[in-house]
Amino acid sequence: MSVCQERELNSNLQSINLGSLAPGSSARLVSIPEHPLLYSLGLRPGKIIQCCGCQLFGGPLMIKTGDRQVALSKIIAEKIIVDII
Amino acid sequence: MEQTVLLMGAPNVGKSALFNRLTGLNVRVANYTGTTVDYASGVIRNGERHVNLIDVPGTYSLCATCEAEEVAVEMVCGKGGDSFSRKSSPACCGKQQAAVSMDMGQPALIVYVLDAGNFEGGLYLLLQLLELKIPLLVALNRGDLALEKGYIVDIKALTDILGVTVVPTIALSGKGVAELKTHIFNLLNPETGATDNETKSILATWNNVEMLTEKVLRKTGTSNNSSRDKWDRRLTNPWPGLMLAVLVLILVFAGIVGIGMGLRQFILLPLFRGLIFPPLINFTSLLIPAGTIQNIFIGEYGFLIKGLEWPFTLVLPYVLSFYFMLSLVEDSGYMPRLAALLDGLFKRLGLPGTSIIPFMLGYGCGIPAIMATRALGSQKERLTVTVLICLAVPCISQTGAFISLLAARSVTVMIALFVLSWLVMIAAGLFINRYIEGNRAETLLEIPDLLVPRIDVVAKKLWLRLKLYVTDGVLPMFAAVAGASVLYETGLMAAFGRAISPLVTLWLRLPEEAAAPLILGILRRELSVLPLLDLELTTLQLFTGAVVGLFYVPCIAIVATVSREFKVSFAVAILLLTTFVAFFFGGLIARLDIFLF
Repeated sequence: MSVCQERELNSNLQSINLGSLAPGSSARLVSIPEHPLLYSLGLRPGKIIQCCGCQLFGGPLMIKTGDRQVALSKIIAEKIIVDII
Repeated sequence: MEQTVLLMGAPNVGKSALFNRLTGLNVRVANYTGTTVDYASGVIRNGERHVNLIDVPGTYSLCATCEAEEVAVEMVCGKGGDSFSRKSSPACCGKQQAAVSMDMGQPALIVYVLDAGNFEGGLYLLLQLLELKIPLLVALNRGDLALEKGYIVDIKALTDILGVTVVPTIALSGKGVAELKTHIFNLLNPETGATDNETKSILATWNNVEMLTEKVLRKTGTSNNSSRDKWDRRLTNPWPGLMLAVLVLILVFAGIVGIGMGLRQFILLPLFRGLIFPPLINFTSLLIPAGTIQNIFIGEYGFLIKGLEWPFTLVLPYVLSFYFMLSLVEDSGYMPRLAALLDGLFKRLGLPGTSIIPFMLGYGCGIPAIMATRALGSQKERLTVTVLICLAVPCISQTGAFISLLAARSVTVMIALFVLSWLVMIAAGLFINRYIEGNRAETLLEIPDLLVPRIDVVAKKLWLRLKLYVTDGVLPMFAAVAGASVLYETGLMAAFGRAISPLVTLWLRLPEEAAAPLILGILRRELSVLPLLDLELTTLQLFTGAVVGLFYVPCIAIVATVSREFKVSFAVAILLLTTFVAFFFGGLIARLDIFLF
């Protein structure tokens, strides 16, 4: 809810879920679902990430945050909200 | 009282390499999540003093997400017992009833390995551990990697903010290890006094993690790792990553077979046949007159001959070549990439891509493979991988036996055997996924930096494997062969063969003597194949025998491991399933001639 309200204020930023981010583009993480590992792997609100594409056969999304690289299932990715930058 | 030091850190920070350097004792060193599932312990010596060092499984925080991490949390937070109650801080995530029990004293010191090359990744756990007020020492590892990425860690700032001693190390090359050892013993010295008083309390929050990173990391230039990046992209993106993955797997397999065959043909076989056996046979014939007793020693199944020839010339070369290739794949950081690439395919079987790790270990030996399933996310995944490994993943000893049995006669049959094993695994995986309740954990894994494997680290691991093989592999095999030679020479084996002869001769269409491997195979997996070498079999019979051997019951040690890790009833189910599948497919293969001729 709060995320949506914030979006209305920053209407020039486009918020989407991480699963629909195009490969090669960067985004700022806005909201992260509760998960014991996401924060530890560097996926925290405010962080800039780059989507490196998706593995074949419904495999995971490859994400870069800073120096780190993470493979992330699409189901989790769809629960992560990002701002395209 | 023995003091215990815990070596802790996030996954893939070089913790196990540091453990090796500190203790001189070998454990597995690899940079993928979940390597040190079964914790290793060793002793650090400094003159007359010594302490126990425990290599705790890597974890990102004190909130365990799998059984392997629970071990780590339990080692620090305890199991809720009285002596540990003061440690039950919120940092332990309320996890006080971990599944794995462990009897261990309170840790005297934690050596925390912080990866300078992935600095922020290890800070949260460090802050959590500092909250627990256990004396702590930081080993700042892989400063070289940080420098390559274009920054340095300001050690003085880190020390000032946290109030802990920070020792820079490069575990792979051994740099800084002596200093670390000195600091460990200084901190543990009761005369220099309490060690945790100066530790400053900073709440374990992500804000503090970012504050620390900002204050401590100094940019030195731009990142200078273009070739590492280039290879990372090639190996990790689906194109050409998947094609390269197939190539890597083929190379690994070719390496295992090629190096193994080379070792056998040019070193071990000439050594045993030329130098060891002739004097052994001469000496034994002098001592023991010809007859049953002599045959038990040096006859057809004579255990002095087969008991040495099989373990040392048939199996050992492949044990060495397998673990050599596996170490290269592990130490380079390729394993998590393979896991990510194959994740989509494994998903069809209800498995995560990371289950490639226990599978690959299983081609070495099923026991570490089944232990490694602890790092998987759900019980269903553990069960599935365990069943598939027990059913259709031959251990390296058995693979060595298959190569000896089939490669000379028909490479096609050899390939057909492996293809059949994969098809059965896929079918069984699909079946289990469909009919067994349970979840597949969503994939989330860190892809660590690619590293060039260090040959001295690989050599150390091979040396450990060799020692382990002699104690855990050769001796049981020797004993099993000795028992078999008694059974064989006394005619008991033939009697057993006659008892189950309808199954062996009518259903499998094999000679009566082929009943022997069915008994021996229960003891050691390769013995379900090796005795077939000396029977005069047609190619189809060889294929039948190999298929039965492949699917037949896993060895007794694996059955014991399965009942320990799961339940006895599950182990019994695996025994029944494998026996049934083995005879079912064996019988089908034996009838292939209808289609061929």
